[in-house]
Amino acid sequence: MYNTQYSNLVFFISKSKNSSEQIINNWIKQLRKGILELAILSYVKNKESKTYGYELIKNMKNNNINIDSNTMYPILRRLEKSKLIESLWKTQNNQPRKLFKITEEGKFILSELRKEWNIFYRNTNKIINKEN
Amino acid sequence: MDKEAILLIEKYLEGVKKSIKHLSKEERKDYINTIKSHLYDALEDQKGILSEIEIIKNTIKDLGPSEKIHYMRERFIEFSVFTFIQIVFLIGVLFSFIPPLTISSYISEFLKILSIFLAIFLVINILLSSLQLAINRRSSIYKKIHYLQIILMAINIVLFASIAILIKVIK
Repeated sequence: MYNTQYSNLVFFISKSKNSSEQIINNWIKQLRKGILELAILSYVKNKESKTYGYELIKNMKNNNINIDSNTMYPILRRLEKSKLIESLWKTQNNQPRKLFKITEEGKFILSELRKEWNIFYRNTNKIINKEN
Repeated sequence: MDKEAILLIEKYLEGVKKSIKHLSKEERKDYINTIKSHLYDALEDQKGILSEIEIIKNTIKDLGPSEKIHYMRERFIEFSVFTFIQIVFLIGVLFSFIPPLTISSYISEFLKILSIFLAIFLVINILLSSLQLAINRRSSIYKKIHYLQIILMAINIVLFASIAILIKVIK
């Protein structure tokens, strides 16, 4: 009897732990979705010379933003398709590379999004980090 | 360069090529070159830290399985299956449910109208699903088209059932 109750309790705890982890992971995924595009677009803009996929992934990782190549390249394609960035193939150190550069439209959209992001961040941060 | 690493790259790229067959020649070239460039960048960056084969293995793992490299492939399969089902359905409607001439003209005309509507809706649905291929999955238009497809499917099922019931009653 005791054993059954105990195993039920263990099952309940492990199940609730898994579901909390799942909820947190889903939240993080949702939070990252739009913000990653903004961060990548900002990085492409801030970089004085043209940048490429591998360098972008590496620099994001250096800034503690873990992003896989199978997330980065689809984002770059989307940004390119929306004409926010443009690309060209160039050979650097005997190696062809697809270099990216922000477009004028991309710069305009980025400045608008930055304003929105700053307002949103300030306001939500006030609520989220408010302690009684 | 390590022979094993070259073989691994070639094998991976072959897999990618197969999964992006449906793209245009230019897009395919861009995909392959992007992956190649990424793999060689990783080799250059991690030289001396890991062996070439280990670098390639890790980078390929990070890129994901070659057959899933392009999300459009999944959409293309979805589209093909959806279209195939609807075309079979459409042929079925055209050849089996168009009422025989022996049935009284009133019902015959009514059944013909129902069949024509069913065929039109099926064609619209097929066209909508091909349109969806060109639209971003996260866009609101994609969702609207999706809802429209569901509504059309529901109407088609009702039409199909009505025709079937009517024919059974007549027979």
